[in-house]
Amino acid sequence: MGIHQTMIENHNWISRFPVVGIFLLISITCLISDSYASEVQVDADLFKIPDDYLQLAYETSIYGRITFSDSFPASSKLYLLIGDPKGKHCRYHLNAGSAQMWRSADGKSYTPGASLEKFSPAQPLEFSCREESIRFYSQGKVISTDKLETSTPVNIYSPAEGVKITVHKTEPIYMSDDFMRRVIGKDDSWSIVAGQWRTQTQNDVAASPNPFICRGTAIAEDGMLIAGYPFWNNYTLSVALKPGDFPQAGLVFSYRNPQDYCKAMLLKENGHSYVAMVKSYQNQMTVLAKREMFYPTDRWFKFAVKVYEDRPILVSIDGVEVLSCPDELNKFGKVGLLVRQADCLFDDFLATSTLAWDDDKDSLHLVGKKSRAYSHKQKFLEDDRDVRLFRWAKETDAWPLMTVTYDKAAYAGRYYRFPFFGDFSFFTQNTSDDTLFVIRDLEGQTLKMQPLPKHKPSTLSRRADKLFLNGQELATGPPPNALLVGLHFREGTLRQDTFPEIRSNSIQHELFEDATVDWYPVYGYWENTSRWGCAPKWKFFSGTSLDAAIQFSKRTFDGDQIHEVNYALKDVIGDHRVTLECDNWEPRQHRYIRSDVNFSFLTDGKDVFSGYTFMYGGHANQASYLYRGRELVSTNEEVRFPRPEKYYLHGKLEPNVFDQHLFWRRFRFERFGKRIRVLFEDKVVFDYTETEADMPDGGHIAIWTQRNGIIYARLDSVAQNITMAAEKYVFQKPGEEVRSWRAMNANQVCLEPLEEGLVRVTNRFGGGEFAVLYKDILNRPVNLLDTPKMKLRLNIPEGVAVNLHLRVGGEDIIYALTAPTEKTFAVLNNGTRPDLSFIFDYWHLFGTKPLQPPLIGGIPQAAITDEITIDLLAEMKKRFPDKQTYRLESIIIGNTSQLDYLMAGLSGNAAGASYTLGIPTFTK
Amino acid sequence: MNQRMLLKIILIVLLCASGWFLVSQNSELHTGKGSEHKGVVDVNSDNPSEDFFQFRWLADGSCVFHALTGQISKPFVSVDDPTAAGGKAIEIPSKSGKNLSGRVSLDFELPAKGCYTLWARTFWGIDGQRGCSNSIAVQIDESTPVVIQDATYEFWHWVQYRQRGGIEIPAGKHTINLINREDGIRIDQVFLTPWYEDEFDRRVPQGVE
Repeated sequence: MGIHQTMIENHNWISRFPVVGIFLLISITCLISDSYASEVQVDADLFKIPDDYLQLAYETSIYGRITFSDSFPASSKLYLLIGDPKGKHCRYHLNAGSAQMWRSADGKSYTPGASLEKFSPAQPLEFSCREESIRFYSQGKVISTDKLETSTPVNIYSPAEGVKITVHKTEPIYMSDDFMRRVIGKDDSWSIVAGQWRTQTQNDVAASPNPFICRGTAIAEDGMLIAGYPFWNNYTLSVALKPGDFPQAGLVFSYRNPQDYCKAMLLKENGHSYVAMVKSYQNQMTVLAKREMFYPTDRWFKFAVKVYEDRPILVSIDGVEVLSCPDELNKFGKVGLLVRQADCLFDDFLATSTLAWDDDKDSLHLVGKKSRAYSHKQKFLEDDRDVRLFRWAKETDAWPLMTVTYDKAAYAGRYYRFPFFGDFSFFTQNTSDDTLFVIRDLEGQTLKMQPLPKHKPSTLSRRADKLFLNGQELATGPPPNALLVGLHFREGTLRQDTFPEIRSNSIQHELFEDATVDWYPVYGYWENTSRWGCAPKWKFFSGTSLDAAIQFSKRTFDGDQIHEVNYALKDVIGDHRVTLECDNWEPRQHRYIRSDVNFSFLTDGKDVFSGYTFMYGGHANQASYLYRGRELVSTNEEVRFPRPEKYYLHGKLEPNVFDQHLFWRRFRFERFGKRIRVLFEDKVVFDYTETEADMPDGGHIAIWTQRNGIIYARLDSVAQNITMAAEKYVFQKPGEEVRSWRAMNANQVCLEPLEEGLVRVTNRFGGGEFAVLYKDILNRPVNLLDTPKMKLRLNIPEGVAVNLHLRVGGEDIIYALTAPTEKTFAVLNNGTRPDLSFIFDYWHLFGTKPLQPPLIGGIPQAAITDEITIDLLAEMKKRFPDKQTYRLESIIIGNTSQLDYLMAGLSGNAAGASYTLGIPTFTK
Repeated sequence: MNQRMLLKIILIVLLCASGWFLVSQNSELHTGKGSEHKGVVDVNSDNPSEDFFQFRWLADGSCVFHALTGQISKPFVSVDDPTAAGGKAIEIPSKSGKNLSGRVSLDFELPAKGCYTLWARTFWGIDGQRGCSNSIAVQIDESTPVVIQDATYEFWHWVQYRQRGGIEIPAGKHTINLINREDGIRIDQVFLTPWYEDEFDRRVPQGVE
């Protein structure tokens, strides 16, 4: 950018020194353009261009603001000429009260359309030139849009007397923030406008996949954290958002001042959830668009808003467009985060003009992600734990060695251990003499050995099923879909610092180092937590639950695919001296629960038993299992957690914990056509060929366990097609509360009103807390001495397993309806569930013995099809005969039995399972 | 000499006079090494570049420095970077540590006091360290160093020295010091621009200045 441009970009210069400034600009204009205003060819009949035109900018993309001074007479005129004065250009002829646009081309001037609308001289008149269009804005709205019909760059000429014109060059926007720091709004890009904004972190952190998260809190006002500049426009904002129970949270855009901004948000009003866009202008709130939709709380979403001058404003959740509003606003302004009447978590903010959510589909992603938190870790010298940690953190085994023979010479090299589906590129700097790309199929057969140009960078790529070397198509037949690619040298070898750069969209790495917006936790506690009770500062991503911990990928993996899961057991018991309740010696002792490292794939995303499920150490570590749907298709009794041996550490004999204490292990799941293989490290656990014709072609994956805690350090997925498919999570039926029944966990259960006062209760996901609470009794307890019998209309079909959970006089009991009574560890009540974030304070919860009669009683039926009548007083007196009063304080219908993976939906309560119930009545 | 040429000469003379007037009246910026508008220096005799300038003051009172033209002490090093201004940048290489003695010093002179905003064009996270490679300390003369940082990684962008109401800088010779704080970063330009009360009037550097 030359000095003449920068000189005129700041109008203050002009306003401070009007005479010199104007003169200088005239001079520059003349010198640069080699023309004089008097020489401009115009239609003098329409208006005459004054002699004192000024050049204001020389940029391809600009934002400008015109402010009329108080002394500017209403009759005075302002001229803007955009384009080439000698050629095509637009002229805008404005005064303080009205405006008329004229366009000049080929020496003729004409009005391209209606007059500009009236604008208030008290408000700045703004304009933008971008992509050969010019737009004028006044009082928050577009008042004129016109094609410039002139090639860029744009010259703007204007007299500057009496008005103040500011012009900013506008570059594409790119700003990101992962909030990895202790303080927000100081020494960073943000300004706190209102509310409390701070980072939330865990105590005692040496390393963690994602140790800092932004937390916004505001009560009665729009709490806003603002960044950017007034001339920002044409971008996509996105942020990972984890709303709390009563949220009004989202994104701010077009922010001018605390009274003038737009917000896109999730909000809850009168028990209903919405997504909405609202414009605040001079303290007046106008709803631009609003839509009711259910969104689960305490889960991460990617919330985004797309703001472009020439398009409707779009709001999306997890890539699914949910709301739009017309394109008429002046969208220039800053951007930010919003929270109101809520406490909300934010992470991974991104503002970008170049990577909008649907604009980069053709670009290939970089492959070979290493752990930010752990790849730089200092190695422990005393033991070898880091060998296993670095395997997933640094991908130390990503490039296995292999030797080939080419032209009677041996070439040593390495190949990338995952195959490539579809398009890819494989780039090497290649500083050697004799180098080969070696392409193989999955059976190991060499398909092509391609010499590279000596000492020159080279790229092997596949586009549209054709292979290319440095852009030249290789003479090969159609290669198979899955290819292994290696790089081999006649002399020397491939060192770690010279590994090729790989790009592919068929390989996905998940190290859980960003907010987990790509995952949908159905049940359990999914956070970064300590792996060890003895060294809590080392955090990893984990799923923990006293029931089931299930998390689905929002992405689907279609066609042939491979998944590798690097896991470790979480030290949930935290005291090696404790041996907990167990069916035999194995599963629950010595700090770890040795069972249930489970993985499901090709699922519908709502039920882990809808696809294929692998259980390592399943059913109390009796074996490993492979399920197809809910059908067990293969069992391997040899593969399970072995009996802990006495391990030595630092030369000392340690208790029986070290079979799990320092280890990281890996499972690999392969699906090629009808063949499914599961490998534990290099050992084949299952090699199963599907015989049914209706094998699903693709689906979601799920990582899960039951009544355990598992660390998931890394998950690598390779598939023919990987797609973000979050619609089923975004568009869920609302229904948190109907006719006195309330979902215990609205994320799990949906309620719908039916005729005759009935309510349908539907399980959103397989297993989980399929429970509803009768809320009317909370404030009006029933005296069972007066009305001992409860009547309740119920229609519970087979496959639905629920029981009555009651609280009478402070005592909790379970009365069996259709759910089993064995392996039931808790009575549902209106109290809070334990917070597993402090798992080491609650280790004993994993050792709780199952409930025994008389706390749990009755014989479960296969189904209930009519009204039931229960003498609750008699039931309570059987259990608590000495009580003086019997006040029924809580009624919940739900399930807590763990028998046969009921909490994961295997033996009942599949996704979509439903039953109906009425309102309970009490009689003598 | 035709009439147009004569008029051009007159305009050039007046242009220079106007520039001088503005510089003397505004919070003028001069570098300590001269008063030219644009100082082209040969920072690397092996790879001279005509586009490579030491500093350039702009008519709106802003001044842009190339960081490489300051006095550089280790661990700062010069690197070639085709995406940087002039194809070069200064870098604190990965694993250099947090040696606070490392700095880059850029000299300039102000004939009159003024209120300014300071920016640095940065590239954080050359080693993938992100949160551990996203800041540098900036010191003007002997003032307390101020940390500038943000979390836009692996992308050239401008980061502001944040001070409410701008930075008051008195007349005279001054030095901007860039001080090592975290390794794995690059900087190519530093931008000093007048601060104004109205935010719309403040210049925000965009791209390579």
